Amino acid sequence: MSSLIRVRPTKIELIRLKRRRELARKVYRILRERLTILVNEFMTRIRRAYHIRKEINRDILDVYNEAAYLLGLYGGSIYEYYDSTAVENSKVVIGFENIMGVKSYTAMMKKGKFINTYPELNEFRERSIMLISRIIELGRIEQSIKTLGVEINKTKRRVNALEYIFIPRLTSTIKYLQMKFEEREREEKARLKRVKSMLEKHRG
Amino acid sequence: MGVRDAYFEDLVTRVLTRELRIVNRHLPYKRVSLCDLEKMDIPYIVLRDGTAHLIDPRELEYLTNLLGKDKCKLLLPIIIEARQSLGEGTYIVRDRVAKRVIAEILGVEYEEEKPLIIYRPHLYKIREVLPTTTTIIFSPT
Repeated sequence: MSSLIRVRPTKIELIRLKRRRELARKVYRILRERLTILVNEFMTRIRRAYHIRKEINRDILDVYNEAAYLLGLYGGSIYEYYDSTAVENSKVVIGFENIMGVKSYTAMMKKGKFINTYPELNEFRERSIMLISRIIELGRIEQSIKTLGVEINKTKRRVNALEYIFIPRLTSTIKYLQMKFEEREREEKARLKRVKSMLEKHRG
Repeated sequence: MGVRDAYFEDLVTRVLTRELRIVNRHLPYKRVSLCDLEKMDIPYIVLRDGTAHLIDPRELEYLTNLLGKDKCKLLLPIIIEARQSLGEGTYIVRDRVAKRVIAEILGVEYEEEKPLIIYRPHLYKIREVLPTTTTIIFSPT
């Protein structure tokens, strides 16, 4: 791959290249800033997902034990009763979350309304709802981790392309053109000097 | 320069310009006050790219507790500006009520008349506390 861009060696082209380099630098700075923030978002979410997963693993056994306890205490009909005490069921709302221009699926739980029953059943309901909302949150975070990962990859490629290929190529082309113009100027000066000396010789 | 090269160069310039244009497409079409968001069944904000950005009700609750009676003055999402002229890793918050929220979260002092300047570690902390109610705008100047 050539390190120079093929351009006509004209002043207009030099101005155009300088403008393009300025634009590329602006884009590069913004993209690098965006990349840094995206990477941080990614890391924060990974940490958060890890903690939530740990909490879920801890809570799931407790909720399961509690469910088994209720089943043993009240019999199989307890879950039918549990279902019938819900005035309004809990809902899961699915939508989008935009993290610095990265569109990711998100979900959140809207807690329903329930009638108060036995204390054990109430406590079990609270804990199970909490567990489900945590699982939903984990799903949301893991989804955003995936989308952020893809976006980080894309942005990184762009930043690298600008940093290592596009801007250096523009810089070297600008330098080449400037050298070419300087050389032209020097040649012009030398030619003028020669013409002048020839004219002086001719006069003399 | 060949026709193909000229086309490629023009394409690259267009792509770069487009990149500058789309980098802020996650900004809201219109900012909504905290009170209005609280009234919604499912709080959301419409963004410039047309998507509805869901807001976590827990964050709204947190902001309500933080602001008290001033809560209706806060417009969401809180805009944090990344300005190139200030240097890398420096951000500005201009909104008066938002400045108060950010200063409370970070435990820093602020002046009413001047914009609040924060740095990258501060930004990370804010994003950790308010991931859906804050947004960052990239300014090329």
